[in-house]
Amino acid sequence: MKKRLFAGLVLAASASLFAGALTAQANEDISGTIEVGGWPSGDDGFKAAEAGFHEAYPNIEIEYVFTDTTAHHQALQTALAAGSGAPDVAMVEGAYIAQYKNSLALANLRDFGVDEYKDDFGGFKWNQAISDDGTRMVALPWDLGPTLFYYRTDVFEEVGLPTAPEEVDKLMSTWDGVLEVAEKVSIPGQRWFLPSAAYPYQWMFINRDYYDEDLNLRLERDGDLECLQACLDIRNNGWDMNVDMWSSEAYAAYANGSCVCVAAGSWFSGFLKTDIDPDGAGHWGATRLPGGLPDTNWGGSFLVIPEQSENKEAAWAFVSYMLATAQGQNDMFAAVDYFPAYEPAWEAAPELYTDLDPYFSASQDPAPNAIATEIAANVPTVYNTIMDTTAEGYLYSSFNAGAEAGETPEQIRDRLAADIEAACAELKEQQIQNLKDAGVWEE
Amino acid sequence: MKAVMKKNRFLAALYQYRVAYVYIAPFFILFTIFNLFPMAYGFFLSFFRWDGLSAMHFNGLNNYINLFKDVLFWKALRNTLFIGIIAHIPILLGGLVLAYILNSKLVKGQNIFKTIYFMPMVTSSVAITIIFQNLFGFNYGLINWFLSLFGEAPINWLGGDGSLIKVAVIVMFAWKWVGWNMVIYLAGMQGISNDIYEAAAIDGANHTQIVFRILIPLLKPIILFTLIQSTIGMFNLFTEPFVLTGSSWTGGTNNGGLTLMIYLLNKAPQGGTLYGYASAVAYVITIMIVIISVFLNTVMADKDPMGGGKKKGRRNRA
Amino acid sequence: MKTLLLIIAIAAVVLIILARTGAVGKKVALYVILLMIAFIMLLPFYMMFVMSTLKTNEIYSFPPILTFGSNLAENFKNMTAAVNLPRAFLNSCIVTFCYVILVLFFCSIGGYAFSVYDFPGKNLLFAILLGTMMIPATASMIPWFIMMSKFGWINDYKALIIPSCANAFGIFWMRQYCQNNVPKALMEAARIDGCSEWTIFFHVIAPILKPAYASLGIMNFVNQWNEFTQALLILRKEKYYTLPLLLRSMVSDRGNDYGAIMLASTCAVLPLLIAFLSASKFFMDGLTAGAVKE
Repeated sequence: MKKRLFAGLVLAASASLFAGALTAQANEDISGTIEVGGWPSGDDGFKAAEAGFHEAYPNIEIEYVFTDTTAHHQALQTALAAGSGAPDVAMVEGAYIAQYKNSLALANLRDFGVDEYKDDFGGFKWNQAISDDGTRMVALPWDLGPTLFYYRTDVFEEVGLPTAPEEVDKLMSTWDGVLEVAEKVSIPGQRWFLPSAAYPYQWMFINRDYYDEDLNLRLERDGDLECLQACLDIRNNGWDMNVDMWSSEAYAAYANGSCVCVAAGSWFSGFLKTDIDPDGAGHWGATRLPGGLPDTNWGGSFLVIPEQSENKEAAWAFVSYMLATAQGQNDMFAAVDYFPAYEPAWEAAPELYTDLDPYFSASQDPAPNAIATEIAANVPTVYNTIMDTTAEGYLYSSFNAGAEAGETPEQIRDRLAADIEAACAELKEQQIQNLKDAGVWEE
Repeated sequence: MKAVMKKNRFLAALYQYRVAYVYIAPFFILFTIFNLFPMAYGFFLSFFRWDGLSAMHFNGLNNYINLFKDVLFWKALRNTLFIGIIAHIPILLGGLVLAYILNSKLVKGQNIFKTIYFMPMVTSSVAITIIFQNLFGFNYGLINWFLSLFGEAPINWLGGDGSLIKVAVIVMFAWKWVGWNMVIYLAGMQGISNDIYEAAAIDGANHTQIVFRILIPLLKPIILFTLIQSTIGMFNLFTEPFVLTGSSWTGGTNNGGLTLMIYLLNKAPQGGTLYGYASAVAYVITIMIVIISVFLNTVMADKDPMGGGKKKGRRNRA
Repeated sequence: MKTLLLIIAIAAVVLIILARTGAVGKKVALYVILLMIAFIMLLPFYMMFVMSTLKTNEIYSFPPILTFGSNLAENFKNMTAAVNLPRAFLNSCIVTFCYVILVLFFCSIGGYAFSVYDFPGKNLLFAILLGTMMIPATASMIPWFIMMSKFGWINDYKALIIPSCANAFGIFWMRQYCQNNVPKALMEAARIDGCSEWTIFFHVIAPILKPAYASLGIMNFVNQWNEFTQALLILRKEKYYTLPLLLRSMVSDRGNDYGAIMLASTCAVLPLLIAFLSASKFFMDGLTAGAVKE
């Protein structure tokens, strides 16, 4: 029985390997219905690639269980802890991967031969999914979030600023340049440079590398105080809306042009096109992060297969087709702008990456995805912990608290460090425990 | 010999009242299976460090010790008590006054008013959440627009230094619950004969006196009941502050809206995966609720606050 | 802030003076206050209705739009494309009605027993029962879910119905009502006629409890209708979603079609509101039916 299963797995793995190249060769041996769980618009992505998947695996049916991100992770977490009730394939957001990578409740993808794809994925995403002891890999990267700075070209034009990505990048490469732009585009009480002045500071940390491998909080980095000072200037001049960038107020402001700039992973292009500003073709531009900040990554998700799944074979067929074939990845990319972590996809359909994007402004050359491809190649490998999401939450609120209290950049940094340490104390204990369990922690 | 007889009598009593036991059995059976067991398991968990995914590690009392050392826990407790106590002034007192007015035939159309006041209980939370975010919005909010009509600068209710989050939470919480308590008080008032009010009115008592001298003492058990319910509701306060701060586990700037329930759920299962620690938090909250309830019980002590003892004289044959 | 506070203060003073001018003035002041509270209670509902006829960018505009817009048809189209509302409505009805019927049955027999029989251990058991109300449900969420999955109740409405039937509040409520409204003489008479205790309950007592059934039924109906946390964990497929889950599934980080969400929420709540308003006398009489007094 076991042998047959293993043979099946090998078959599945090899079949999926070739599925990309030889789509005509369908695998009819794997069958069943699998449940796929996640949050929107992952389902739109999967549905866009479903036709190709069914061609490769005609006997696998898919059911989608989709809800909002928070609810999805809660339900997944609870089902894993309980030992049943999880879907066969689940999406996991990049921010959560540190808490899942050691989990024995998730199937080890190495048993399915995931290492075949090692060279096809960027190093930093691949490593995030490997357990602390280095033996298991529980998640396959779906997408990257090469961080782009989005701006309203119509407003830039109106106030006499350049709109081409390279010129904007050059103009804003220093904090002085950033403040100059902020001042020009802002009309106090009516139009704002950013949703919140806390964000430039957050961009420094957006790849969530708050802790080093000895679990020391490392907030101090090159240029952080200059960055914080610029943030304070933006706040004190009333150039930011002073609301969360994900709030409905901010969303409305992106669409009606009263919030002029925002930065996010390149998946934000998809947000803009389909949800935030669907009627806004022609007035958005995108370039690298301003203020001379290094290229970085913002989010991006993974797929996992819970150990409790009763059809892991079909689940792996799904995961490997969707994430490790150029066709699967590019079909999804075209639909929802999830930038593939699977690098062969970039060359398989170069037009998706280099062709000018009609949604963006006429001056947007190169296309946002072309810039994103360059950024993706530069993202360094970082060390992630289970404290990262909590730390990120405090970055925003501690900055606001500090700015409200009239503190200096140093004081804000110290306040943030104290807040993070307090909020993460227990998580840190758990992280140490995880590392001890993995045998990689020395007192 | 005596013991045997006593035992027999006890068994006979059990047998005699078997119907009663059958009637109350469903609750206790269901409770034991579906609540008691999970609670016991939670108690067990509270002595472990467990992330729900990897191995469990015995942690002694450390979860409890660390909890009491955590400044955020104390902040959350302070916020919870502050919001809870302030919000329950309109909820309980307002509920009582509204119930009195609508019970007193002073106005017409009582049923319409009652229904309107109870309506917030009937709604789904998603839409109401979005609407309250909109009401308290900084740049597009209805309240700030209203203020702007009087030439006021917009107020950052949900941001700023975090202190105004509490105002928004209190408004949203009171909006939802005042009708519920009104209904419970109304139910209690049905049992009070109108003659009492009339007699009091003839004696020259005004409405304030009637409420405080007659109504509140008569409603004591039901007030105690709503107080305990409100205590539980206060410690369970989660949705309102969470959504108003944009689903932030910090509870907004300076943890202004961080309540105990946000604190708990941030540990597990929603925000994080510290199941053992979260269980410890849950037990501490439970103990606080029990202490407050016992305290309320003693302060408002009746012979039998829940009203059980007064019928002792009568016995029913079964 | 000053002008505003001034206006509020003046309004308050006017009301107080009005109330002091005699019976008519008092009545007017009372109506004004009641109507103001009603306005506050209704405002979010009104906004919900208005927003369901607006485009998303109209919802977030300044000054806010407070009158009905013209996007209702479009929102309806988007809503029906996004979710299957009638299905979720049906699911909610199934869960809620099954739950309410069971709760009413268990609570009425339990409350009745605690009220009329003086069995050994009654006070202790009742104290335990009240004690159970003090434990927050969240304390046992994980073990509860483990249990549900071991029972195989994932995607099964049983998980939402049966465990919560252990309803201490309901028993308390029923007991209070029985204590005040069940005449002992009636029971005695029935016993003399040779009725069994079971028959007495169903034929003699249950009809007396009708108002309490109505009130407890409405309260439990409302709670179960809006239940989200447990449903989220249990119902893993869209075809099983209850209304709160369905509405929540329309919300995403990507930006939302607020018009459609508001319309769906309106559709979800409107039947209840209409039922409540049109039968307000019946509901309120039921809700406030002398269930609790001393």
